[in-house]
Amino acid sequence: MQDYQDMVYTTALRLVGNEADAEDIAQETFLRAYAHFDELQHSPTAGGWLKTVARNLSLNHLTRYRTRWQFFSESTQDGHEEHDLTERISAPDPDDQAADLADKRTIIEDAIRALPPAQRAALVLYHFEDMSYEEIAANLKVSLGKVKTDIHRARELLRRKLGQRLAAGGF
Amino acid sequence: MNRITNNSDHERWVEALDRELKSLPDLRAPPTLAPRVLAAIAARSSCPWYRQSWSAWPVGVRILATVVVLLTAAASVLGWASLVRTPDLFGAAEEVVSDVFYLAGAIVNLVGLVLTAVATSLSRACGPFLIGLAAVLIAMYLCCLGCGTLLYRLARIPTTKGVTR
Repeated sequence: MQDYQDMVYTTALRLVGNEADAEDIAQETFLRAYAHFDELQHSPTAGGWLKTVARNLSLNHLTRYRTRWQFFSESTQDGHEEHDLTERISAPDPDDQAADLADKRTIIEDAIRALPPAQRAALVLYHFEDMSYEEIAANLKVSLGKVKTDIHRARELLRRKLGQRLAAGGF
Repeated sequence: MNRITNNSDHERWVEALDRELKSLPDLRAPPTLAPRVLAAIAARSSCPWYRQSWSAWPVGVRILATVVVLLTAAASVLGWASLVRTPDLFGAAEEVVSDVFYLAGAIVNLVGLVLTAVATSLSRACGPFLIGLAAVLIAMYLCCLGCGTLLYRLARIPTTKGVTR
């Protein structure tokens, strides 16, 4: 468990964007692994098995709460999301100097977490999980067009927000 | 020409982003995760077998339960078949069922009549009052919904460090 807990937790956190939910999903993943302990104990694919379970549980979580996001978040998203994201990532910060010195990776992780749920899920599945547009559409139970739009928007948001902050880091 | 430049610029950005994202290391799991998992496993292990899922039952009990279920199903099928083959038994059962339906229908009719009478007399006596009451209730409901949405949005406003409150 020690070897895989970071990977499982990271997979869940990048998809659901919430630390408490990610911890719950990681716990459930390990409980399922415990139920299959005999098969997984010496299996070379145990890591892949855990990652797949964590991803599927995260996707179930996302699709279960989709109606709630759409009602509370996406209705106001187009007008405000860019503004919110700008504030979250590049608003003047009292600790601005410290933030400038902060790890580039932390900034990227924060930027991903600040994306709207639908855009974040599609982007993470594409770039981290190496899934095709079609697979993402099937997993998230949305149309292919929506997947492409969400990924495009997510990249544009990241480009606008990370471009300036990470210019020195090679972007 | 400009469009071509934009496209290649976008492609370069996508490649750079992909490279950057793939190079990100895993985040550290919270130190509470392992103790939580171990506690959950201990709780499940201490749970008696009959409160766990079918797959966790002892083999002997699983076989016995399967036999009992099959015998029950067979007895039900055979019992129904014998009921159908015996005209007297079937007729008696049919009579009981029709009596039950007749009684239920009579009760439903009676309740419907009472409700209709109450609604008619109320609407004659205080129609505008009822309409006003309904309007107030709907307005209160919408107000609650609006307040709930507002509070939800406020609760999710991020702090300057990108962490929701």
